[in-house]
Amino acid sequence: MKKLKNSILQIILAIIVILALYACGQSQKEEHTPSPPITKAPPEPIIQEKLVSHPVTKKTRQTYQWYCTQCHGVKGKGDGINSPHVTVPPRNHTKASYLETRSDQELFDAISEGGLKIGRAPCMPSWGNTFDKETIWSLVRYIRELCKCEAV
Amino acid sequence: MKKNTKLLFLFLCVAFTNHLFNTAAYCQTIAEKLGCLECHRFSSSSDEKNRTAPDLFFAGDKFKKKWLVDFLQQPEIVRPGGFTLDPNFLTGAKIKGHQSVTEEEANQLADVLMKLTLKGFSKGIIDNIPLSKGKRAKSKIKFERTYGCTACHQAINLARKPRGGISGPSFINAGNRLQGDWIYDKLKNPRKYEPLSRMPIFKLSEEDFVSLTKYVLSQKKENIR
Repeated sequence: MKKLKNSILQIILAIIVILALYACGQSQKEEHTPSPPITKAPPEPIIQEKLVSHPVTKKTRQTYQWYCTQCHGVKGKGDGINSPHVTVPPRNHTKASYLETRSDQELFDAISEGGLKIGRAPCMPSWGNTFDKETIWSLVRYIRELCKCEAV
Repeated sequence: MKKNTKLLFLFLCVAFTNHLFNTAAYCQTIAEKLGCLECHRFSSSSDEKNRTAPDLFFAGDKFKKKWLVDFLQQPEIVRPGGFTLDPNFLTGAKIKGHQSVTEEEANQLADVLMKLTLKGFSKGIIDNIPLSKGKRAKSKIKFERTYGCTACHQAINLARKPRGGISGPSFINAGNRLQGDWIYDKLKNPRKYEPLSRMPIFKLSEEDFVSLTKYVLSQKKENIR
């Protein structure tokens, strides 16, 4: 009986030691390896299909006129009322020579997450909490309409 | 005893209704006389569109009384780009200044405006302790860079000069103008006070909501050099 008790105690002790060692190892590991940055989901491959399914509607134009025009101007020329007062001039959406160098996904990310997140001007705020994805995709389409250009 | 209580209750009810009615009626009279109602709404029930100035039915939650008294006598431009719902907004039309009133009228109006509050508005979330120097610098970066507030709102920059976009209300005197609890609630629920607002909706951490509110509160025109 006493032997059995001893062996049970020994097993419990062994488990505790193993657990303690494991925990130590883990905390050390955490200290040395910084947690990875939160990575965005990779862009989905079939962008063209998405754009076709989110065409420019009356709502798209109204959205652009209500929100975007404050900086990008009524005609999208980058001359809105805020434009003389911001450190980086707002993008001219009619300028094909620049906009053709940007992919649709990049335009989507700029609207959704703001300029800073994609390495552009911080004056462009993030609109991802204001508009749904469909609206943002249709705004991308609208910008393509304004610049009369597609990504090269 | 029971009868007395009932009578007292009845009296209180009558007094309260009377008080409400009088405030509303007085407010209506003075506001009508001065022409406030041509541009401002004093009730959420009136026509939502065709407004050319901000709503005032929550003025008591939003403004600081001293600022109201000063502003009504010597109006400053709060919205350099005009009011966002004004049909002239974005057209570059010159901003029509606010009319001024006498000191007595300003005091009377401010008294009335401070009584216009929303039911259930939570007070006391933002305390009076200003941001520490370090936290202020951090909040400045958030205001100007991380969230890009400065694209639409004027604030005082490092050189102590007003800088920033003009489509939103200016913050260069926001610390004197606004109550902290209101800024906090407005930032958290941007469509509650203006369903047709042109401002993006921000989903921030509680810490950022508070620190940005306190940053806006630190903006006072006497700090401009």
